[in-house]
Amino acid sequence: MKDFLVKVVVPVMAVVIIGLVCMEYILETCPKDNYYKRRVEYLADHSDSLQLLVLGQSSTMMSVIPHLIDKKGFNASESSQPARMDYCLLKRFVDKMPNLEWVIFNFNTSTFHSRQIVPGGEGEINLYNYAIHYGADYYDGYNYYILGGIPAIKTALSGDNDEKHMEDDGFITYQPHKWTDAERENVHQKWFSNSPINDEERFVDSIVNLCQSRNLKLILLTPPVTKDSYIDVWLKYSRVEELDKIAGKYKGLKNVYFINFVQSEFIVDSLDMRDWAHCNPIGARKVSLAINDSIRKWEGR
Amino acid sequence: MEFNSINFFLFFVAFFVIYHIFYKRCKIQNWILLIFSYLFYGIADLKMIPVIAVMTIMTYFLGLKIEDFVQKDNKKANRFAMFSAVLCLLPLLYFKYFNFFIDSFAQLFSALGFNTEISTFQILMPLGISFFTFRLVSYVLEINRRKMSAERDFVAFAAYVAFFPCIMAGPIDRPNKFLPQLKTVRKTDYSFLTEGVKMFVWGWFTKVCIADRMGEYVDAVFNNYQDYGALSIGIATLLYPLQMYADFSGYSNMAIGIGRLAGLEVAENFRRPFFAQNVAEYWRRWHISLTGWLTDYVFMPLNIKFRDLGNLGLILAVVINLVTVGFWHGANWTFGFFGLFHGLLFIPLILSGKMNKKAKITWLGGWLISPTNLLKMGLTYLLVATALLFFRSESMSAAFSTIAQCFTGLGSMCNVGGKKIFLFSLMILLAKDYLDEGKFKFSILKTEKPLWLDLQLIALIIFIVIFRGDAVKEFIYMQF
Repeated sequence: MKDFLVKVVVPVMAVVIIGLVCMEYILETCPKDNYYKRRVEYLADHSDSLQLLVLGQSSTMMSVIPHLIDKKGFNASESSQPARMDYCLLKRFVDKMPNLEWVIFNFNTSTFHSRQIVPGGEGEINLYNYAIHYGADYYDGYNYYILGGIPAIKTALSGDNDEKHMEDDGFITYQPHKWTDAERENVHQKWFSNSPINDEERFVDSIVNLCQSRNLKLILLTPPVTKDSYIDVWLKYSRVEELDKIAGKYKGLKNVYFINFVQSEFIVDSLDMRDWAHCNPIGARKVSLAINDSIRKWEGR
Repeated sequence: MEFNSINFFLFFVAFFVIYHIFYKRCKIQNWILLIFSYLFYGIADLKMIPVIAVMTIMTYFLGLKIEDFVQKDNKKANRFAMFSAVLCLLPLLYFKYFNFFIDSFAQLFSALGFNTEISTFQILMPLGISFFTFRLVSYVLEINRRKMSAERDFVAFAAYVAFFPCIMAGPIDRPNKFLPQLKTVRKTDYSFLTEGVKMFVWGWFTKVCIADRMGEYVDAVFNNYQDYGALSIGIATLLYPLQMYADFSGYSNMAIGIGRLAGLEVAENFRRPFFAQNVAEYWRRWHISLTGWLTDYVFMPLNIKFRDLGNLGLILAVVINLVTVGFWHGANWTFGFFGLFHGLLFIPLILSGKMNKKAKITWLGGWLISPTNLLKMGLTYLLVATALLFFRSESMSAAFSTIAQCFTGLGSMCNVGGKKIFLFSLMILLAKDYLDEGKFKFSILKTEKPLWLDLQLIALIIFIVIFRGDAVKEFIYMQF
């Protein structure tokens, strides 16, 4: 037993633990996702002139093209970005944006989904990136990279995401990806079944309150989804009722507007959608122009 | 609590420390083993603890009674042993097969034109019941066969039945080999314990780097076969035996490894099954503890009963045995068909007198398997993969629909990530099996030299931590 402990257990455990800790440390010093860095730089450089800020998740990121809107804007939304992160961003930059008039916020049931904030969950890489690049203070430095496995390590090492392409105005397009029905169903089950409305709701409250206090106009935008997704997810998992219930709190508030593209007739799945919940650039163009029309109307132009 | 989870690691460390503090105090160690086994089982399925406890107590007394009869009256002993075996099997029949029988009868009567409105019960099957029941049956039959005497030490007997490394998915240890180990000082020599660590880490590797990752692809295709064509279904069919092997042999190796770390030798369960050159040899290498059990208690008695029928008798015994193997996995016609399919594959071997012949591998130049052998291995693999397609399907109609889907066209390739990782890991597994099969001097984790072994273990563990699947996944055989 003594031989076994001294010759095998102790050296193996010691080297494995030391090795993993060192790898984690090295990975933490790597560049991470460069898009975050570029966004922060963009926000810092252009904060004086920005009139419109887009916040939210991948569905907003891929459906609002700022340069198609009359206001000078920036799309700061990101995949799986939790509402608390949106609030953190808005709070941090609002005072540095003297000309900010409009905020567009992704108002979708996934906004309230716990997968975005669970440690070790899929949204965690984003939290970590925000913690590093945006200085978000609520993130406690959970060891992500080693425990996150290969995708996290790869992102950390390269700092790039091959699928992404960011334009100067912060609009990000992804390489086209054809989801099979099977993959879509797997993701639906994994993400949306039994998903609770978690305490992200209070951060949405905070965003609304912050906009109210700064007299900013807030658009709660529900981006388009495909017809199949509407049936398979929104109806199946009672998303419509859930969202309506939360929306009820903000209806009637001054400067709060709603745009809902779910079930919108002018979005054609086969032409405008990249996958079940994300626009392709053609769909994004349509959505952005529609938002622009609404802003013009609300401004009385 | 899966073997590949952090919780189990902590559980095992606690067990290992407490257990080995009482080295050479067998009775205390048995108590510790029993307590930890029930704790392990309770964490998985607290409600079912009474089932295993009652069955253990009942079988303990049945064993004593059988021994009593054996000494006085052979006929009575035989009858009572049969009665005891049936009694041990009753909970398994109820929990696993009751609804299946009801459903099947209802369908049969409906097909005959009778209006049947029979509803089934919601029965939750206790985890591992198929495995510990077979251990209990084996115990009563071995006493009757005079291969062992009834166990007087209840704690040792209960620890054997509930032995936590093997309770969920085997291997199915024989009482005459396992129980004596609980009466003696546990082995704690360097090579015995080191072998345990090797087997555990190797099993962990095959489970999380191959089976789990491969499973993502296989599940995505088989669960949505309507979306795919011949290409993806064909690949998934070919991968599934390897996934099963990596998963189940992974579990078995981990169980054997844990057993060794407790100073106990657990039965072998796999011997590189895909190097088999025919189906008979495949079954001598696959799930050895189950096939050995069924050979002793089902095949041999049937073979003796049918011996006057010549080859026909042998065929009948083999087919019944393999259909039993099939149905042992679960109450579904797909499992029955899986067994029958294998049984039918034995017929040419029986008729040509090759069933029990050991097919030797010819090594060209001492290191390369001959093309003829490779061809036979490939053919055996294809037949096994075909049978497993039925095994994997939820129903017979789903199995045939999956096959029919292959004729709709080539279809698209299933786009699931992690393929490079499992292919690389699979190469490592096949390389190790190849080297072990050829009994080469060098193989993965074969060395006894501490430094070289430590380096291999470290490399494997770091590889596992980085390249494992996203989540801790259940072992396939835990559902059986």
